[in-house]
Amino acid sequence: MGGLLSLAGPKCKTKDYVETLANESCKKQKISPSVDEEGPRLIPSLPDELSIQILARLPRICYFNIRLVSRKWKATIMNPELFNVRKELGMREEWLYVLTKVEDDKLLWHALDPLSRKWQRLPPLPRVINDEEEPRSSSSGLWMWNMVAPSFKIAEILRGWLGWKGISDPMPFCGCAIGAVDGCLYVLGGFSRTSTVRCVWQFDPILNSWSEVASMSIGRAYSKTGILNNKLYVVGGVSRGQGGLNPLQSAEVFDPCTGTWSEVPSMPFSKAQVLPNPFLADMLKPMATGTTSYMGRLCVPQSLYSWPFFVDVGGEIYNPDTNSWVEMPVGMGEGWPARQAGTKLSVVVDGELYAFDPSSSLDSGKIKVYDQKEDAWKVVIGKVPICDFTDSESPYLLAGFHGKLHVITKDANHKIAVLRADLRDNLSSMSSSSTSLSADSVDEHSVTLAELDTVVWKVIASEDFGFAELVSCQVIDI
Amino acid sequence: MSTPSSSVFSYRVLKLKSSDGEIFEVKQTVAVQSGVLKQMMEDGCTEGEIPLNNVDSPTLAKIIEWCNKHHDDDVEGRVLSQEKEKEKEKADMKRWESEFIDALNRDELYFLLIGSNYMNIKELLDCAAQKVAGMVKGKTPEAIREMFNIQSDFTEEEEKAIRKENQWAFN
Repeated sequence: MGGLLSLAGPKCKTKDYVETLANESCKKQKISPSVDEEGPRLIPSLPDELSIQILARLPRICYFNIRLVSRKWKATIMNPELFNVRKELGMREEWLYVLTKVEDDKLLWHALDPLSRKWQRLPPLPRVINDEEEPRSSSSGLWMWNMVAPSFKIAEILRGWLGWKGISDPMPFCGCAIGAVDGCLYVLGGFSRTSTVRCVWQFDPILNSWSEVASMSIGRAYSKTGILNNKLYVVGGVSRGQGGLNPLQSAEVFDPCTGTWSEVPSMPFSKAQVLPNPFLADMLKPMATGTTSYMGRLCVPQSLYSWPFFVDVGGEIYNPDTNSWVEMPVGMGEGWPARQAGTKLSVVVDGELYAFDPSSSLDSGKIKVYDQKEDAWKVVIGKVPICDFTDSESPYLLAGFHGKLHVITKDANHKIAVLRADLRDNLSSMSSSSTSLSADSVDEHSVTLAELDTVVWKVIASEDFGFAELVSCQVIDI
Repeated sequence: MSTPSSSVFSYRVLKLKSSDGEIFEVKQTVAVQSGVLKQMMEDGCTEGEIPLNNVDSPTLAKIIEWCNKHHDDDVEGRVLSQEKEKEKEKADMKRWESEFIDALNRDELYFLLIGSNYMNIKELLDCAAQKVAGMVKGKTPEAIREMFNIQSDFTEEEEKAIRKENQWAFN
């Protein structure tokens, strides 16, 4: 900005003043010293601060393509500062990230931009051979395999590992937990060969790459994750110890701002403490079967299991303000719909806690919402079109984005479909969004359930990923 | 009800001087849309001509046209107007804005961006930047380079690597 001042302002040096103010207003929009001020401009006719204002207004899906314009364009697009500008402009986009299991038991992520309906395949997870513990003799662990396996359908895989001594890591990341916080995806722990691993991988969608971050304090597989106050909590799971696999009651929390893990008090699992005799206490292992962040607390439904039995025993709730656990309200814990033994799937949309309740007919299911006042789960959507209940580890997933509940499943043509729960038009005018979903609480046993449904399902995207099976999903908002 | 500030400003005009020396008279109530001019008015530093060194006269004329359209001297009438009318007004304004922006050639658009940024007129900057973003959207990297006259500085290998990455991502 040149100082081509020709006229002297009469009072309070108007000319200098306007320069100063204009410069100040420009500086406010300047994004970062890391965007190279030297060298060629992003757009030759414009100062870079304005080019950045332009780039920030583009849909995120465009960024892959325009990285090819020049080095500086690429560097700018992969600079987090650009995403801060987007945030200020209200240009954030929610994308759905779906984890699938493909041939050879490999895990592969797909991202969906719900607006353009384009799918992006994420770079593969780095193939790591992480031998934190030497594989031990397998016999001691075997009873645990059998116990955990039926619900997770990993029995064959795990037994396979024990047999295939020579083959390294047939399925890395098996049993990993996933989470999304602060604009990044996380893949936590899991098995590597027969040991549980501590390592944590982070996917940064701005850089479109994976990197390893600080490891957890202990190797965990099948742990559960939840987000509170922009921190990633990891609860329970199993760890490989002296006597095989041991269930974990411990929890820890990752702060993405500092990149460090801190301890969280272990789940007391008070229901397991009151077992009538030591034999049962030894037989019945406590297990966290889900986590959901609801009303600023971490809700963890729990089960006791002893092959082949799986007993739901309510759950416990972590309060970050008091840094302590309390018993879950009875109705919440006992009524928490179970997808299948060992896994409880739920999602919070617009402050409401939803869970999927599979019906016995296997071709449909219900969505329930938790009514906090009455401490009860109530059916809000009587019918969810689920086509594929076969083989898959997770025939459906739940996600909340754009303020709406979504179900991800495989359709009749074995395509992965993302369905959005829309209110029927005639009802949507009466009240808005999810409040009316929950307000219209229908008695579970009502025979006219389908007629009373206020929801129509809309397929917002479907894609053929071949044999890929659904494993899990997350939403990232950047 | 008019706000205290507008009653103070409404009867006065500012003299804005473009980079090529032309003087434009603008009502203070209109000029407040510029963050820079508003600050100057609040500080009482608007005596005489205000030189705007980054804005030439055609651009300043456009900027003032925008501000005149967006300024509202009938405050009381607005308050009384019905929801529906407001909706219509909004839609009309949107249409006017897009016609205004679409009528500009590329250089005019760039100057408008620079001028609105310099004078800190948020809505105009937003509208102009959105327009350029729309021009970028959906174009191939080659077309973008051509449009903005950008020289690619990637080596062949680098470009190949990015293309490969994109192919993995979208096929």
